[in-house]
Amino acid sequence: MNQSITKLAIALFMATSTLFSLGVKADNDSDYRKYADETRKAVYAMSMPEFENPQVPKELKAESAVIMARYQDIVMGKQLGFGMNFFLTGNGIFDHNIVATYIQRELIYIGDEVAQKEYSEYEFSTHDKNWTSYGRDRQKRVLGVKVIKKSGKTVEVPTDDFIIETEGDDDKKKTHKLAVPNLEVGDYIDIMVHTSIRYQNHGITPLYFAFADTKPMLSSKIHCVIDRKLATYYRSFNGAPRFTESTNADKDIVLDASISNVDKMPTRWTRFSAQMPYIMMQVFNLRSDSFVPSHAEKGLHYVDDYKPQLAAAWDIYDDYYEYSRRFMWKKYVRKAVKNSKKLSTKERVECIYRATILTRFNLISYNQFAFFHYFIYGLDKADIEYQPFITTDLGDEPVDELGSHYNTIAGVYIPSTGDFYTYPTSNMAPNEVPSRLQGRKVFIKERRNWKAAELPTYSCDQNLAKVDMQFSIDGTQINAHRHVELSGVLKEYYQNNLLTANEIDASWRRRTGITKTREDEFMRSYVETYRESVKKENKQQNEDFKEEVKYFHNSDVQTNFKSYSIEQIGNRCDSAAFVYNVDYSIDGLVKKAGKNIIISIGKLMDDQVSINDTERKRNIDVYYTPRSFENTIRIELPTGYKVSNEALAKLNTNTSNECAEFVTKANVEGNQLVLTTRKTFKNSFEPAANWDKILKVVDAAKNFENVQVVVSKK
Amino acid sequence: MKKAFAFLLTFLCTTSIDAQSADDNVIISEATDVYTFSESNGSVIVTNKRQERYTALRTWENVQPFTFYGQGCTLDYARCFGFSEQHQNITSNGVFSSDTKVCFFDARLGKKGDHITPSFKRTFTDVRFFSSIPFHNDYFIKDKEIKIIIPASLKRFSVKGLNLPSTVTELHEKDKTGADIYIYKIANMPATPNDSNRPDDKASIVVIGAFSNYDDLYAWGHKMVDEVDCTVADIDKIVAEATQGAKTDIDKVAKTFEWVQNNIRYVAVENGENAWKPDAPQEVIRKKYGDCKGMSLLLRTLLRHQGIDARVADVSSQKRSVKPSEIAALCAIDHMVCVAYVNGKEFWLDATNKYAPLGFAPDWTSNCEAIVEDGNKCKLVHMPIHQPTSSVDSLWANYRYDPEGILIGKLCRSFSGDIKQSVLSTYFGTENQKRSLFSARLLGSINNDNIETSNLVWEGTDSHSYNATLEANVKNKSAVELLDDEAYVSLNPVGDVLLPIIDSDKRKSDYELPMSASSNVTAILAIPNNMAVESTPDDLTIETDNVSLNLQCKVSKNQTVVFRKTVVIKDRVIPLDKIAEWNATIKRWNDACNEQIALKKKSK
Repeated sequence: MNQSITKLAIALFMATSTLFSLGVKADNDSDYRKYADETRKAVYAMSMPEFENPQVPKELKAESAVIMARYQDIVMGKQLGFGMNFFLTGNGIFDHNIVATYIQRELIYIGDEVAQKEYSEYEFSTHDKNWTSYGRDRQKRVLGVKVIKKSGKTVEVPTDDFIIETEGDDDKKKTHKLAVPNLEVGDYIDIMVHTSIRYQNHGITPLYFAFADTKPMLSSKIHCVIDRKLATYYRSFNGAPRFTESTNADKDIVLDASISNVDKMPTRWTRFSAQMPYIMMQVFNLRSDSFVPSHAEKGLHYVDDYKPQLAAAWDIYDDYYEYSRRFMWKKYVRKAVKNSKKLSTKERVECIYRATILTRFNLISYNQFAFFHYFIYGLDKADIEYQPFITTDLGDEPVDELGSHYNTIAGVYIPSTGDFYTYPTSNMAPNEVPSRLQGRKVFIKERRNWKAAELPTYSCDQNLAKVDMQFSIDGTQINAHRHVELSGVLKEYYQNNLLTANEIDASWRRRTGITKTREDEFMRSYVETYRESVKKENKQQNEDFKEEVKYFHNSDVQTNFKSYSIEQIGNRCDSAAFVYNVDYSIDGLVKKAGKNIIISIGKLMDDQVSINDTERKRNIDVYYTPRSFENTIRIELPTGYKVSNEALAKLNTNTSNECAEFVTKANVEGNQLVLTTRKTFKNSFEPAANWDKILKVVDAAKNFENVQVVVSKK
Repeated sequence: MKKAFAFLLTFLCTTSIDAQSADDNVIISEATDVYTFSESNGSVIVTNKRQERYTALRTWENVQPFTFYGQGCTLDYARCFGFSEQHQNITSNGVFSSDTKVCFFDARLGKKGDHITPSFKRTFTDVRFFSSIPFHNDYFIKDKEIKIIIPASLKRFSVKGLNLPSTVTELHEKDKTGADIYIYKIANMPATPNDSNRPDDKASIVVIGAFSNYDDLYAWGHKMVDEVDCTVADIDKIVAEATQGAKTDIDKVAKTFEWVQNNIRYVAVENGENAWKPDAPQEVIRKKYGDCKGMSLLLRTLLRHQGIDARVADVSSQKRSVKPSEIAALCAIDHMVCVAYVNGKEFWLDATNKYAPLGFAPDWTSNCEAIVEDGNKCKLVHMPIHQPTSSVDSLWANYRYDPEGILIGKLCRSFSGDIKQSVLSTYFGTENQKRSLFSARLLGSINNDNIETSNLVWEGTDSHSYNATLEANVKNKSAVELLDDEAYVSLNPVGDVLLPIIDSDKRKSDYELPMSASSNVTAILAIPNNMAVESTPDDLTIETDNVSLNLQCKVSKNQTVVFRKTVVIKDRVIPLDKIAEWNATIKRWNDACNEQIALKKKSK
């Protein structure tokens, strides 16, 4: 017995020592300084010719900043640690950790004062601890900076220039700040960040290696060394190269990739997930407590088949279902099922969907998994046939090219109505598809098989902003009443920003047939609190509508907000438009011109996008939402004034092509000058070759903002 | 810029006399804030105990009681039942790093009637850093007492309330031991409004006695300046490079000043004694950055090396509520500059103003007190006065009228003084490739096929030129509307940025205009012989307490229309009750300036 205790004590001691090994423990200042100095020396001593003697190409000298070279290095290994989980979850005495070292080094050309500012100041914490469900991750970080002057002289920033700030309890948390000395426009800056991380008892979320940037990039290299006992999976996208795969003397996996001379990517109307070359890599720790797909095996694997990833994604949703059976808050869903018996399938599903959303107010933890299972619980109860589906959003890889299960999203398909239902990220009607999921490929689960399909993409007529404006002139001031109807995905932003949680909740309840209001459901002692929060929301809504008015027209237009009203929230299948009204006045758009007046009628439109010089040449395809904007502008002419045919003629324009159109028409109806404008972007995708056609329409609309009309005295 | 820790403690209150408003959910229902002077090991220290009771009047709310501490001030305890204290570094605007920390509680008042009573205790280990007392005012204060206790043995210290609002009552008494007790009772003080462009608050309680007078204040600061090693390696080389081409001593001053402006960025690192002690000139040169102290000492060093009488000066800017001549305290000083004396003339050199030429006096230090080195002593002087006419935005346009309805001509816009500083800071704060777009906008051109600008040229985008000038050729179709045989022309190409329309909805405080400056526009239009001027905007002159506006539009015999408008800001602060009037004035002005010039074809 005594021997056993002694052995256990020794084991505990050894394990504890292991926990604090490998350089990710907190250091005192001098230990950290020594570590940081040695790390910088080691990294800067690595042979990298692309970081030596930089010369920015002449054609790039006008750029704000140029990535002359980028180098990313990852080393990952397994580590056995003493398990906290032994005490917390009983999952074993040892933790199966991953220790990783990341090096990111960049050489940047500083082309102007903006880049000088961007790259001259740094702040970082040297040590971090993050709690996860599996334990505590620890990080240690080192920053190194060198400045290469225009003359070619290299100056490494000395450690003494780093400022140490302390904060937190007993000043234990250390932050380092650095204002880079002697950095001028025309110089190059060589920045290195070295991070050591201990991931306690879990795998790693996907890593992404991008082969392009929003700045020009002359060289990018990646080098990884990964323990062969870990399960490493990767996939290349959008033309990115595969890694060159090899092993080292220890039989660890060695991965290398490089690319050179990459043009910068535009940020406007670009879909990085579809256009930026990148590699996604995920590393699993097979013996850790975090989720590991059933197909995962140690060693290196290139993912060229989505099916195992899809199966892994489904495993997670399925597993969660078992857990979710323990949730008790299903009363809304049950009520919705009961109250909707006489409705059509479509309406019934909508009811159950709303009830599921209402459930979120009662759950401490609410996420897409919980939503998914409450929803299908309701469908089961209502005996409505459904099929789950898996997809991804437009920020991630398509579902039929899955590199990992990680980015998948689950939803429900109703075969009898043909509608798709997903986790509510906006306030659209339940069967409407949010913008981030439109056109995405899906796999629908039909018993044991997966069937490919696609989520709908709304047309430019479905994504419609219809604005009716009534203006009257009072001296040089214009009084405005604007009626707005937003449909399709164009309403998402405005619903999220202009509606209050209370309004939305009330609308869900009405539709679900739940007669109790939210206030009714509060304990008496909290009713007042609830009422105050409603007042606060309403006040904020007033401010939000003020902002809406301020930013609707061109920024030169001076508006004075008066009032607003909401006619329709737009979250019902039978009334899906978001409709509201605003009243305000405008100054500065009516000018005296002799005995006549001139109205800056173009500025009464909504604000038009402007494409500046730096964006006018484009060689990558265009991704955006097909959409239409219709304005009807009615101006009550002052008594004794008219608009001549000559003046009217200038207001009729037409710029159209297969990509887009901007059309304006004007006439006089009684004592009103009526101008209609319609701008449409027809498709969700345009090849780069069509860029000039898009520009033509965008420019036409922007130019029209400056159109004026002479209203002459009779 | 010097950032006295004391400055951060000086949290000033509003002068509003509004009572508690319907918006107030959380109030400070009662509070005490006691400062006790004492001596410890020969040094004067001040202990501060503060306790406040936060009460929720209607519903739950999150609150963050806090206090500052740092250099010269330790935090002895912070307590708030049920909540853990947190500590973070905090830097004020424009400071990269400092020792100032904030201790706060993320507390919650759970429902109506709930209250918390946080308390803090601090010790100012150096009484010099205790130079003013804040009115902590994020919430309505129903009842608060600030008490300062000064024992008889320390009677050289006292306090004084400055610009106190009507909600504060000042009392002074002595207790049995002869200690002075100063009491400030606050009743029903509204929360400080969150309005934009609010003038700096000037109300404060200032501590007197840490320094006998401004000489003493100067001596303390200057001792630290004297400790700095001003040796600069290669100083001959630097001076030679900086002053290349200089013929006179004034040239040398100008070029040295310019060299510092162009080569040293403003970065304020104020940890430890760096809050008050300038960085060594050699370090400022090595790092190519520094704050006002570092830049000033570097200038002094370089100029003295050239045999020029150069000195550093502590400045009390317009942001300070107290002047060193009134009360010698650290809160009276917030800036440092260099002064050079050449041929009996004074040249004030503020290198933090990157685009200011020699001799320009910025508005924010206009007529402010400065304590200048004077041998072993110092002298108190006033800095040069800024005139609105030295910060000018001037637009000149010369057009001819093309029968197709286009104005063709040349535009030239120049900026001087504070406006130059503002415009060039924005220009150089824009990425290279977007600067031409920014420049075109300055001339009234937006992305618009109807306005073509060409040959855009900047001159004077440096520190030594008095004006920065932008010129371009313009073809402007948007400025002309044709109707039958008439044409309507706008000669007002750009709006008046000095004259904003103020959103007064829910505003509770006065409004401070962006700068004390002036602008003028002269637009000349040559009209073809076959056209005549039918009407022009009426002349208009408006004088208010804040602004002078003048508009004239004349037609000369040689078929030339000359449109002139002038704006001069006289007083930047618009009182709350005058904002509606201001808006009406600006609207009237804009309408007048926007009135079109009507031309008509002459009958044959």
